[in-house]
Amino acid sequence: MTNAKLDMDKLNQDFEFVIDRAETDEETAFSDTIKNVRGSNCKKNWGEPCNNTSNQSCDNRGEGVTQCGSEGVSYCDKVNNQGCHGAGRFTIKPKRP
Amino acid sequence: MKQTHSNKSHNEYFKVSHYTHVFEYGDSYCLLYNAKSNMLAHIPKEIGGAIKNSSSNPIFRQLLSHEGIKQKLIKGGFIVEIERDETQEALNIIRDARKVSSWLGITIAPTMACNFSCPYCFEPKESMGTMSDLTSQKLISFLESKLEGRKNLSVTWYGGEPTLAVERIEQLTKSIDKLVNDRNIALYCEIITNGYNLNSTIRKRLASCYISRYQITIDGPPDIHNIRRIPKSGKKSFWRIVNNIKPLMELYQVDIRVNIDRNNVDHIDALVEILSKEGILSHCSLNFSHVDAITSASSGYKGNCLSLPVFAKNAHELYRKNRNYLVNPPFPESPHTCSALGPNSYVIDSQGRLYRCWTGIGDDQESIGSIYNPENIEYSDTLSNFNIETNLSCNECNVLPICLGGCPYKFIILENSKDRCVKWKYTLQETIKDYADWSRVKTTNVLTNPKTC
Repeated sequence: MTNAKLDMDKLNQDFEFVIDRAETDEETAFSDTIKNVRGSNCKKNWGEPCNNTSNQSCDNRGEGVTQCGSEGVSYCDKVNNQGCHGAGRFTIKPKRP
Repeated sequence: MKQTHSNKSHNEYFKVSHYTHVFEYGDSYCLLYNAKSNMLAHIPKEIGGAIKNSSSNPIFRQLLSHEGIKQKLIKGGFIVEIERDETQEALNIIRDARKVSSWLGITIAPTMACNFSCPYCFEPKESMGTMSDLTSQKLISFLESKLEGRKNLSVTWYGGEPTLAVERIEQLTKSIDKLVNDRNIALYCEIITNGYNLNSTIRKRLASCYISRYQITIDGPPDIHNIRRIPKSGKKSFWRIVNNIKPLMELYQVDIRVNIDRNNVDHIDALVEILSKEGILSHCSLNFSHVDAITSASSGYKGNCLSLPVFAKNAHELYRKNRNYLVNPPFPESPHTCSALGPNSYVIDSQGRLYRCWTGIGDDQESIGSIYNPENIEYSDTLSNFNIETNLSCNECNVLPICLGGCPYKFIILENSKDRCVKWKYTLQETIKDYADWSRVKTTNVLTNPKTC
């Protein structure tokens, strides 16, 4: 590589994250990694946030039929005793039948 | 950032992380991966070249002078403050795993009996039968004593074959349900089963036990699977298991495990094709697992096992060849440790004996005590020998955070064998590149064919 002057702005523009992990608290991260909980329809890689916002359905990248819990990207709530389909976070207590 | 009294610019207080990897990616780009943050970036080759030779390349300092680039490098963990002891930070993850957390995981074998007789099974063959009422009561008392301060409880039904003791699962679930409800603890339940008994009646009964994840093993196409996963009745199991999975997969998380060794490694493509045709792979994950023979009960099977590096290469190639069928390409897990290291996880067999690890279940030598005498639990067991702090090769390894010494049990048993590391070590570059390929195709598809919820 030469020491020619580089267009730093262009290099910065072309610097793209493929996996950009959301910050998680230590406890969530620990739970995440102990139990790789993710819905069978989840199209996201383990650890990727599912782009949910509070109490909305998972988007097509998380692709689930679940509703998000209040934690947004932290974890998904569940309906009908299904697994978490969203962020792949540690699941919360299943809804009772 | 640390303040300094010298004339050095702030940029001189950064170094490339020991866990940063640069892989060439096409003519003009590189992939930048960090094994601590587990983040991945697609970068111009000029940046990749500068990071590869950061100590001698003046462009590296130029990059750090650009605030946008610098912040991205910091965010991804690709550069760190020069005084950071990254190895110690990785080792601290293990230290912290030995502390009590708000999470408790228990693995319960309601029976050690099994309806299968698989040649590579690692459990002792003598049956200890099904859990008694008294053991069940002791188990609930033991569990209750471990719940203080917990927020999450994970219950894994294991065996033997747990579906042979559904009544015990139901009874224990009722008691566990009361314990967690009284304490506002989140409960998560899963089951490891061969899938043979999962008819509609059993499925309904397990549904009432809040089981939301099933792990079921299929070891190849019918002719291969049927000689590896053998019911004691002598019947063939492949299609019965596949047909049992179908109604489950619409409602629950079903992970299909494929145990791979020399005897089936060349037949997995055929399995993937069948599962895809049956619609299974659009719902279920497929996980390739390494068969090892490290317990006394499975030692006779050792000659059939692949070394971990060979298994890793084969598993990666299987993912690559069958990527069109699979939901996600493989990617290293974020840094984590085995739950067996700490006081947050217990394995309990049908007689009430306690173990640190699933691998030891049924083996007297591996038991750390009994729920009948909880005050006598030998907590300072063999896993205290899992001490990678003094292992030079681990300390210097540039994938330490995604391995953290690997399986503690194997670390102790296998000593310096390559089989004790994690598979990612042997396929990291290919894995990262394949993931990037997949991600770019996916992004292109989303942009050209957007969907709405």
